[in-house]
Amino acid sequence: MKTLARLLIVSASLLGAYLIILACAGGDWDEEVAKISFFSQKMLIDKPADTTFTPLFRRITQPFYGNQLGDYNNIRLFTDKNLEEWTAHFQGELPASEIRWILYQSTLEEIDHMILYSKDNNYGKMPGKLKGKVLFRLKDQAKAREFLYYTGFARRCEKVAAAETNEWGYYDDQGASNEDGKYLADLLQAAGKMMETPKSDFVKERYRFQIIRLLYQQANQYAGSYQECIRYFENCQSDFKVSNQMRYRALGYVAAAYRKLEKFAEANLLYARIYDNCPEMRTVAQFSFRPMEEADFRQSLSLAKNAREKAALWHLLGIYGDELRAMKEIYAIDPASDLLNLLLVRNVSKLEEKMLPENDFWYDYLRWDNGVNPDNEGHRYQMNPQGIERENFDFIKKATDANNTDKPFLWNFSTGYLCLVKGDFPTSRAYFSKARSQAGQDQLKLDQLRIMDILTRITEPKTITPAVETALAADYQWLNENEGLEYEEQMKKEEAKTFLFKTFSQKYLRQGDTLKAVLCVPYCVEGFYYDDAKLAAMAAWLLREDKSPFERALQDHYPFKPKDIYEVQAIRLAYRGDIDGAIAKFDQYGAGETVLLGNPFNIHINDCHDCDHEAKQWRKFTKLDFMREVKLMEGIVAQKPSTSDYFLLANAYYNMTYFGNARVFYSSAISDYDTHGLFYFPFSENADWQTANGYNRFIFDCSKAEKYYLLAANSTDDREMKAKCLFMAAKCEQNDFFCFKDAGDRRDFKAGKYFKMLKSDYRDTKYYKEILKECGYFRKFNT
Amino acid sequence: MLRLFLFSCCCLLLSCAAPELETSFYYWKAGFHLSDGEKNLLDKLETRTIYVKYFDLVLKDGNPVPEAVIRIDSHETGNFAMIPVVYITNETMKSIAGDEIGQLAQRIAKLVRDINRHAGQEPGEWQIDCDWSDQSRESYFTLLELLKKEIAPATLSATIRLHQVKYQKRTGVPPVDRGMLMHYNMGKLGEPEAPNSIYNHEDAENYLRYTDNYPLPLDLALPVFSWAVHFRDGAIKALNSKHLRAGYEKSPYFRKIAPDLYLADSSVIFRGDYFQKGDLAKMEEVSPALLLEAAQKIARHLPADDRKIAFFDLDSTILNSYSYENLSQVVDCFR
Repeated sequence: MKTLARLLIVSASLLGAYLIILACAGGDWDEEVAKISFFSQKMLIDKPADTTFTPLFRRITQPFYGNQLGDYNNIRLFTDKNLEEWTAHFQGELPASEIRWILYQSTLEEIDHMILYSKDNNYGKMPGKLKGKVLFRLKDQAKAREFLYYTGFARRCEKVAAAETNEWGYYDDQGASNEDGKYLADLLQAAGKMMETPKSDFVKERYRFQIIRLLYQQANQYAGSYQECIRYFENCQSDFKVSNQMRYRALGYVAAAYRKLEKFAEANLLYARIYDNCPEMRTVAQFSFRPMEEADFRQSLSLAKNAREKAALWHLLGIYGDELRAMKEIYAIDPASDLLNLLLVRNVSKLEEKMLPENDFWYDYLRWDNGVNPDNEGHRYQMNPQGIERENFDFIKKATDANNTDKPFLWNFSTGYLCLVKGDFPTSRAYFSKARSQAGQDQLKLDQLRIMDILTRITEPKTITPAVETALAADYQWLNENEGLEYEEQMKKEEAKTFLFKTFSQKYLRQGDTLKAVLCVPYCVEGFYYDDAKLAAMAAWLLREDKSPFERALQDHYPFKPKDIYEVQAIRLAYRGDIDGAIAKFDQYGAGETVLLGNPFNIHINDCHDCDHEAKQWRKFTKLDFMREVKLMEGIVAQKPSTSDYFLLANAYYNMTYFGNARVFYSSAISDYDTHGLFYFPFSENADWQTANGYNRFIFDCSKAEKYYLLAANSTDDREMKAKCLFMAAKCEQNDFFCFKDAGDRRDFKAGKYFKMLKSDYRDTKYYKEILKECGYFRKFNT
Repeated sequence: MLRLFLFSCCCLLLSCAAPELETSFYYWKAGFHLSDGEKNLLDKLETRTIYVKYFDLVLKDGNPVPEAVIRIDSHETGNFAMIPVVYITNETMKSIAGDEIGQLAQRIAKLVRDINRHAGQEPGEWQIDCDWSDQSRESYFTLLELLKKEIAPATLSATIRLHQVKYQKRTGVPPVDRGMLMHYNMGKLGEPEAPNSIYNHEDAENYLRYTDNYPLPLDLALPVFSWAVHFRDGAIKALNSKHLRAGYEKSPYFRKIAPDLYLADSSVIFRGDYFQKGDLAKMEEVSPALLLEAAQKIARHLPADDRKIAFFDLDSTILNSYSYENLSQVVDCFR
């Protein structure tokens, strides 16, 4: 069976590399993240423990490499089933633990000892610990021996037929001279003899299975023929009468043999038979089913023994390529066929990919950049009825209305969902109401119906009234409850929540409620956080006590707290020079409690944030402390100007800029949210930030620092200090040049007036020599 | 003085000698078997070496494992020297931890040697094929360095894609002895209306001049493959390398709506792929005339030198599309 799975693996190549790149464009990661789904395909399954369908659900990712079947292991697939069957074979006389030990845990050597011991109790090499096995105390010792013989034989077969191979090994597999080939031929010969002894049909069919598997391997890897494998099965198939799995596992090799012989019609029919009769093998049968041409598929249909087999063939074709076509055919054969159900849920799931909006990260990002305009098609976030082809809708609705399928719930639900997307709410409600009456107590179905109800109440109203809001308040709470849910179901609730807020943000915008739109999608209004009035309104709203339940939900969803708004307000005031105002805002709700990473009064020849951040901090400054200190010093210099205080103040203003060691000062929850760098686009290609009104201009503006450095320089006669102040002023001048005078094309360095002053008047200072050593620009200017 | 004179003569002689060109092919299937037609073509072209993909290295459950390991009938290989090629997915190189690269290099070398032994080969060159990216470059280059040491004195070559030549500063130059420039897969594959993505002059022009100064000696791989790109709703559904134009031309289920575009008129199973009504198949192939032009254009950018001209890839279908003369003319462009 491993070989069958391998058939599907696309051979990698120079071409292969290309395929993977393409896959990114056509249907993997990026898209998977963007696509959303509300519909649970699991509603198909009656018993939650049944996992035989899950690998066949519609998935967006179709990886070219990697394990497409998750932890599916075809060698260990039947372990439990085997144990169960052997336990039943011994009618409870042999404990399951001992059967497990014999089948899967013992060594071949131990089995051989046990065989010899069972034949002769005086067998000398029998390890003592094995003598106590229950097996030897069974009344029917012939049966016990038969079990041991078979196990010994099966173990020997595994080496060539089902070994989990060393992936890094290379095995010569050419011709019968090969050791393994000889071994396999010997096994086949031995099997013939072994077949003569079994008494029970149970063991007999197991030998048959081993032989068929060996014959297949012989044809596949050594000198053997696939016809022989097929012929053998045909001659002995009446021997398969006890275990279902044995028959279909054997048939799997026969199907593969047909495939190897390029008899696709026969092979595909067998895969359909296996799929339909052996649930454990559904996945492998589906993955192996590969019609090559319309004609060979037609031939499979004509070879089918009955209508059920025809329907199974269509079912596989549906999963393979075309659910709708297959559903129509199966429905024509038998409207009540259970083979319709998986196709229906896959179909609806595929439609979702086209009819639901996407959670496109970049799309959101761009919207933030330009603000949302819900009347602009490119901005619209809504369901897309055009994604549902008419023919598809008509078929599902017709079959639902005929009310003759075996799972009417699924059909009513699906039609209701499609009507919802089409905006036909009265009709969708009618279908959901029927579905509700058919859902019983199945929690998944009830949850799915509730999600549909929520989607309806989000999508239907043109304007959002308090009544609409009130009705959704409890739903928001419910969408947040994830306890006991599997990841997939949690995601569906998460996506419903996203759908709620994104849709509502657009509706609020249309009805002019900017604030609520921002509460739903924090960055949907351009420049919201740069607008003092809007910030004030948001802060006031967040602090309001008298909120309705839905407004409380909005507040809960909105990622920012009053503190965050106050912090942004304070930052804006600080850069405008309103230090009192900044202190007042920082001082409330802990808005100014973030600790700066370095001492904001320190400065160096070269800007080095990391050095300042690593340096021992004798005193730590929060944003609030920092502003209070600046305020204090401004008071001092106003009363009694001094060079050192001017210099420290200048350092403080310098460090508040992008170039200083206190970038933390202008970052905040709002600026750091997601990837929306509110204050932080140093070299954006968008020239907006360079203009006087640009949002971020103040971060790059060193003019205030420059002013204080010059005041410091002018207030002293110490030539060393003057040189230092002028150099710092020169840094401000350079930063200004690169940010605002440079027309954005990163021209070469150009010295400003302070560099020139330093060069002409301060060459003799020690500080000058230090700068020469440390500052490349200055060195360049001097040479 | 005499010594200098002799040296100059040698140089003159060397510079006058015609560059040695070798015609080669890539063999990219999982079982090595040559048909009589293929053997005949190889004989005529005096092909002595074939680049044979030994296996793919892919990521499975987070671990690098070989996949599609070649099966070689050792009786088949007698007349040809094989250059083993290992294709490594970028994913594999992205995910490997720094301290695992040494072991990976050894494992690759061992498996290649095991196959060499089986096939009776002692190759003088090994080749690694990986479309590395920024995130995988460091690991990939480390692997190449280790492999180079591991297999010395055999030379190690690596495939070089066009974008890696154009953006060599960013992508880096792999630490190998030679590069194999893949002069194909250059256009946009994802658009039905775009020009042929395997080769088209327009896109080729954007890359050609960058080959002039590539720091590695380059061999050249030219495309002799074709495929049909399957589109549904404007997105790629499948890439069918076994589909030939004739199949679409003859099929009653497809209608030609442009020189290279075929529209599925009804839903149909076709050559192992499923087309829904309205799906498109776009045929991309390189005709002998286009191949010759492509060779002429790039030859101007590759100085006359010893190199291999390898066709990708050897398959019996190329016998129908290219004659011996077609391919031989292409190789002559580089003399």
